[in-house]
Amino acid sequence: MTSPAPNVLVVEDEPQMRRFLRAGFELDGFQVHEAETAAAGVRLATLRPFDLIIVDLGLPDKDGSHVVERVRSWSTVPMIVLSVRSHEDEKVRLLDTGADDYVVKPFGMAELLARTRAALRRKSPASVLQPIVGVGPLSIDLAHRIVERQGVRIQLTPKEFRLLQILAQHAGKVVTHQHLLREIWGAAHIDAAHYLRILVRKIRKKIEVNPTQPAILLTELGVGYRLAAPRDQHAGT
Amino acid sequence: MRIAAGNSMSLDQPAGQGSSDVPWRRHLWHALLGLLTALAFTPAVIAVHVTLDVNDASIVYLIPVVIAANRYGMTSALTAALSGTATSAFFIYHPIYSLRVLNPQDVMALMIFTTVAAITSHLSSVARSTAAIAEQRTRELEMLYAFSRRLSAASAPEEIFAAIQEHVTTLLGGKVSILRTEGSASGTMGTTLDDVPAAVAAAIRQAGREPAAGSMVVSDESSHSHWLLRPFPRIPGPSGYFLVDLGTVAAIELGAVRQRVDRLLDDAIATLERLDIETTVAEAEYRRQSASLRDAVIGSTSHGLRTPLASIMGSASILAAAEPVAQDPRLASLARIIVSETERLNGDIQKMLDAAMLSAAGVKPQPVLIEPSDLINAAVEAKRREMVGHRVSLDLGDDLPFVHADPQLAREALGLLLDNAARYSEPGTNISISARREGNMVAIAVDDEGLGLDEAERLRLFEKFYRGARVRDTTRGSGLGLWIASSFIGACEGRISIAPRATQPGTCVTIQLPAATEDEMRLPGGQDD
Repeated sequence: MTSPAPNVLVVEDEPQMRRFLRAGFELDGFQVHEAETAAAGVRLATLRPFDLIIVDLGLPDKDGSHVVERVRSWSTVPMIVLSVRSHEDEKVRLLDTGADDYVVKPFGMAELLARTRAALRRKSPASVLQPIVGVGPLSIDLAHRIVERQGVRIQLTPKEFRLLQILAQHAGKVVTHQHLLREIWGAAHIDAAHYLRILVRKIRKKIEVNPTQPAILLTELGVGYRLAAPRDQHAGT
Repeated sequence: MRIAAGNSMSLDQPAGQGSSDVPWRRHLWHALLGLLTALAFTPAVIAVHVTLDVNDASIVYLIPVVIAANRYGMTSALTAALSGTATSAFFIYHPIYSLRVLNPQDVMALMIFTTVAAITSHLSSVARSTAAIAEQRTRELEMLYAFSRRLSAASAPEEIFAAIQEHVTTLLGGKVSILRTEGSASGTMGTTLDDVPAAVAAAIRQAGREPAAGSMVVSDESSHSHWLLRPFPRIPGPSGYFLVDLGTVAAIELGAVRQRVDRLLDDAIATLERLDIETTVAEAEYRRQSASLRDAVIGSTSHGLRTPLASIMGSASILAAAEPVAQDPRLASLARIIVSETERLNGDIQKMLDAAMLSAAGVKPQPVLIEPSDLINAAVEAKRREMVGHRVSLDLGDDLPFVHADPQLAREALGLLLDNAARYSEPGTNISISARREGNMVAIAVDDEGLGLDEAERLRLFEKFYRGARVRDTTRGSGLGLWIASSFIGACEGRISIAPRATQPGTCVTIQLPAATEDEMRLPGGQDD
């Protein structure tokens, strides 16, 4: 985070929340812009480009997911949702709407900043062009469809590779069960979540040192799966 | 005659004593059955007489007499007794093949037999009808019990009136509806003035707000049917009518039918008065209101309390990390206290909300298949901060079946167990979490090296608000954690148990969750290629 200070838009109606978010982000070198309502948030987002948008779910005029949906229709800017509720269903809904991450209130600033860095990293040009994704001892060569652990090639079935490929394309971000099922088995099997559990167990046996304590293919219980943060840009999380 | 016909629940006639419409035909049928029963035993009587050469073989006929009395009643038993006397005279007593009996001793024996048989049949049939009446009473009591249970469980006045309507309908065995003229909360009760014949509606309107206490009968010319209208219980409270559709009743029978229906309604109304319908209705209304109030409180609490908590925790986390504070150990520790206490408060609020939700409506789990290690890792991750002073060890089997559970409920329940383990054992000690298969369940056990349990604690720890005597004054806690955990696990169709550790001090809490079947552990053919 050098050269031009990244811009963050905070869409939050509670003044105290805005004050601490402003202090926290400014101390970390961000330039902070604020909006109190969903409408103002969407309007500000159209006026200028932001590097990150933080959206509270409970806004006075409209639900925060409305902001996510509207902004996502034209922008790839990372968006993190704040909410007092921690229902898995809601996380899934928000992630599928286009949110990058979801933080449950109350939270510490360090946690939010860590999530922010992860989201920014995923959008950085370096990660987009990366044909080989390295996670821990694993490297996934997306172009040649080769997966190696510490230089040793791992044999994967087509579906196993497909799952790793999707997660690698979103490395560090949670991909929902529904998304994975649709991509791997097709829309007809969107409810067959146990296919996914079985496939993940098989992959973990091949790629993890300890399959019951996974370090690469991580579970977001009730929501989906994600690949641990990529090795190359591993910076201070 | 829809009301009176074949009604087995009629209260005015004890069962078993002639509730049929045509008694003589039934008596004839029972007499025939008695005769046949006695005749069926005749070969046995003759056999006893011939083989044992006893003259008093007629005593064997007491068996069919008792059988007939028990199964078909008095008429049948007396017929069997007389048949027994006749066949004995015919086959056994000299001269045989004649109904005459010459030997005075035989005459005496026959007379004794007949008397004994008559007394026996009387006693048996009395016993039989007593049993039938008792059974009838039991049925009525069961019905009344079910009715009062339904009343006390009702959460809206409408449910209570539906229950009353059904109850009275069962009693009368005919068509009864309830029409409320006032006190109806939303006017949603089934019957309104529009549903009844115009003549009935007119009569109700004419009676106005203060109807006479007794019943009235209204004739509906268009359908040639009669309706009996009876105002509601003589209690203050909701007012309205029982409407009984008597159907087409001949004028000559009308008085009797009306009398009978009135008598049944008297009984029903007496019951309603005993059950204090007014209070019950008011309570149901109160329950409905308090349930919606509670939902509103739960909703606004989670927003209203968490939002300031979020500001406090966020601000404190920034302060704790800020240079001037971080450099001063005393200030830094104060800032850390704010953060950790806020987290604790947040956990307590979560428990309160969980408890309120459980008490209000119970939980509606959405079970899915979960990898057991995913569940355990998620709970451990969520409680990382609480267990920071402890050594945590995991022993998870490699090939455990998946479990059926609601991810959120199961993770919270397991998290509460980890919370407890950390809270009630010394920092530096071990908390071990293990999972293994047990039959068609997967058992996840949390072992700590803390105080352990005494017998009273073991028996009561899953009770709401219970806290062990030894920790009550020394450790903070709400007494809700284990109760919530056991409720959540119960909702997932799992089991939870607690016990002192076998080989060393400490407590072991075990959660069992239903394991996936073999089929659920397999991809359909060729799916993974």
